[in-house]
Amino acid sequence: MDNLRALAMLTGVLFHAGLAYSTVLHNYWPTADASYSKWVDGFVWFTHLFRMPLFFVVAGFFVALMVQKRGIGKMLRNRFARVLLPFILFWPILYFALRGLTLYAASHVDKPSPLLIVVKKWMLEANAPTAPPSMMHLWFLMYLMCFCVLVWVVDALEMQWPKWPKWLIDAAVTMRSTTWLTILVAVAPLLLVPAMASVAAPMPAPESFFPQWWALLIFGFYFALGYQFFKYQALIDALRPIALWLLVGAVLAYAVFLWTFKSSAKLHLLQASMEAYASLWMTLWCLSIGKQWLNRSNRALRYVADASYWIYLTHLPILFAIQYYLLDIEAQWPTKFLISVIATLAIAFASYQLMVRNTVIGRLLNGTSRKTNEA
Amino acid sequence: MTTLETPALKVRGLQKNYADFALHNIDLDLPTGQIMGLVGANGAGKSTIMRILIGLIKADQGSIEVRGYRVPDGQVAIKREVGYVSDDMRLYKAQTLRWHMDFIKSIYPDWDEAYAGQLLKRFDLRAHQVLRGFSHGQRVKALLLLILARRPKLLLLDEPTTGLDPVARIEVLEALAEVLRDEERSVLFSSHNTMDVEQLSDTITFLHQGRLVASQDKESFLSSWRRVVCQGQCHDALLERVRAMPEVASARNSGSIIELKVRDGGDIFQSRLQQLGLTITTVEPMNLEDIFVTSVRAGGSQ
Amino acid sequence: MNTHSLDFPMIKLLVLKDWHIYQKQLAAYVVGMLIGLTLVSVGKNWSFYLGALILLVLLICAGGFAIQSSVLNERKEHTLPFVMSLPVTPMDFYWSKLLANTVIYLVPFSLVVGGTVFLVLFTPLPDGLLVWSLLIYGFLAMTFCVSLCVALVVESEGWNIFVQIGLSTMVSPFIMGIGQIDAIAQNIKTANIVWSLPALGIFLAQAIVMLVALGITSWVQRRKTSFL
Repeated sequence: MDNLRALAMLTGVLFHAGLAYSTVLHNYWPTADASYSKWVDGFVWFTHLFRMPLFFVVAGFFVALMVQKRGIGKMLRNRFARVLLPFILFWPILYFALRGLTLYAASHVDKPSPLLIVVKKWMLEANAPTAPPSMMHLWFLMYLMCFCVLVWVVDALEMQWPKWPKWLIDAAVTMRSTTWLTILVAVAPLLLVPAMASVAAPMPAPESFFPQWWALLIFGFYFALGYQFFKYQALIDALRPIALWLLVGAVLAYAVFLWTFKSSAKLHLLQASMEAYASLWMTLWCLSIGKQWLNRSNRALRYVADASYWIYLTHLPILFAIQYYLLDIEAQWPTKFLISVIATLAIAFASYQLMVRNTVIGRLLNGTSRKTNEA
Repeated sequence: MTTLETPALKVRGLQKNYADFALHNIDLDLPTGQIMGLVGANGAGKSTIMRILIGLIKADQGSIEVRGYRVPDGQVAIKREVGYVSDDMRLYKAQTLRWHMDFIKSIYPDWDEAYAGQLLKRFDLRAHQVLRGFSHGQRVKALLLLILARRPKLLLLDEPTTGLDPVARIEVLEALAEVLRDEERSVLFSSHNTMDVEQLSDTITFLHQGRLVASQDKESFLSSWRRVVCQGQCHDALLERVRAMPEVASARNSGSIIELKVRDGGDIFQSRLQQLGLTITTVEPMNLEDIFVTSVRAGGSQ
Repeated sequence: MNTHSLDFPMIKLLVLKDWHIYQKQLAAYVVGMLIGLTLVSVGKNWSFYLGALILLVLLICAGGFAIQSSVLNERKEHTLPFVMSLPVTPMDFYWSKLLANTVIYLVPFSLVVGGTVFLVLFTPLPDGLLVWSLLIYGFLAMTFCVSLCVALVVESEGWNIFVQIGLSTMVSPFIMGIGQIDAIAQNIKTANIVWSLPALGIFLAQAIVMLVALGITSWVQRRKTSFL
């Protein structure tokens, strides 16, 4: 699970780096480059569909593990220390760093992005609106904290699963019937459709400080899935026979999703459905494959897993700084993309090694023990 | 700070005034390793004394030392070494006994989990049952379990067996007897059940209307009281003279038979009775219940 | 033994004890706050007002509930002798109640105040609303503080309920009262955040009332002769 989380984190860096070269976000992304391509959209939005759900599944799994090992009180204390406290400490630094970088770039970059042009205009106006602060990419931490608190709420209120979902899952586990599991997997994404249909496609990041109901439902679903997977780990094994179909199905669903953008008809419900299917099926595929291929100790992956929290927190301002610089460089997007990814990861890993790994920051983020669960 | 020589309790001149009641000049001594029974009618002041000893109420006057610590300055140290249970004490009814045990365990490092398990079995209590479902007897036993399992040096028990069925009562008394096998541990308990006090106590303290009537070792206390039956010419004047004798707590006649309940009625007293023309036919000991009832009816003037 | 030093580990245990005992109710409040905050963010008028109302009601109820449950109920349910027979001084007990209740109240209070500040500063709502809103929140905090202090020293449940209800009913007159002060009222609908002298004076008065209430409560608690 840790290895999955590490790979998902690396994909996140690729995702954020790719957004600068995306067609869809060209007018909205601060580091949007003059060189962009719809192929970038094809890649980034695909990873976007399952990357964050996978993070929440892994998080739910580990929370269930902690609850079983240490109890809910200790789990909450641990999450306050490892999730809420880093959010409180890092958010101001990251917010003002990103804000500062953007304001600097707006004033100094010769080939600004469309958004930087708007920012520059606002900077010159006396009564320009102030953009409300957002959680930025740290929204994951707040939602995770929220779900951990909800685990306590469920326990405190002594809430039980209604009988029939428990029966369905028990049936899937005990019968080990691929058919039964296939039916479950085919139907389950429908639970996500209402929430996904209520927001724009591709699904935005819920960065607002106010909780978004659709994000609570969608990511709460994945968190709960991960929590249940801890209890029913055999289910992950049971996915193996259909893993290839999950991948094929997800890619097909994504292809339909992309097609809906070309069509002039209003197909928002279809878009949302395809998002839901691609998202869940890719997440399940990653879990199945991860258990098969990543369930071993590997020093490199272990190092990446250890560094992943720091890199998740800090990669965005590093990436922005590099991409703001690259805005004025004449090059095509693949070159800029590669440079920004490699440079960001190099700086992030170097800073992790020098400033974090064996310091108080490392203990704040990863605790005192670096023993983690495999795959 | 405390050694075996340090008394469990040392009270001098304790005074506490309320609008309708007062404790007057109470002196108490309880050596370590002993058990003192506090006897008195309702409203005598037993519970008030217990609450003052544990620091729940402040005395108006007097010097109070519990386990060598002064009350109220040393109340935290006292509460670490003293276990207190009272009749009006309740636990959190929405929580289980197990939660209470874990709570006490987190506060007292001397908590003995194995002993707590034994007490659970002996008292026939279910740790995972919510307190709301406990009967009165089960609640008392639960409170006792919570203090016994942390092995306090002094137990202050206010009416520990009141309201218990006979089986529960025996269980509690057996648990207390076990405590007393440890020479370093002491018990002060109050009870209306004079049988329990007589059975368990080394010292008996008798309170009446906020005053100390007596506080001495059980044998001396019991042997100082006698029921004396005399015969003679009974007339009112004679009875008045007998009742006026300081040793006489109660005097009743039935024809020529006079039944006296006396305290410290030694040879001199008996010869004075004979001088009044009375013939002593029986002198026999009294049990604690009899002494208690006699004293209360006499107004505690003895 | 220094009677004036506080036993922080014991205070922490007592606070956690209170939170555990009332965790069902606290969990319900957390769910309510999540629903309120989520409704506010939906972006429709009805959801905004409903969400804001839920948050305000929860804020007032959380305060009242905390006082009722953790302070008054200890006497009513006769659990006070059990707690006071633990190795705590009356001042430890007093501070644990203060802390437990203040934290319970501060969570919804911070959310509501933070949410209000956010909405006033970063939405089309006039920024001038900020001072007026903060004055009202300051009053709510003050009423909570006074109610808590009264609960800690006055044993009568009747008097406590009277004080809580009485203080709650004073919120409307307070809002009307500050609306009559020109220096405050004239800036409410503007984009200017004006910390006028009357506004600062009212904040100061609220802070003084809270400090005085806490001071009196501490003084009374130290002089208590019965802790039951």
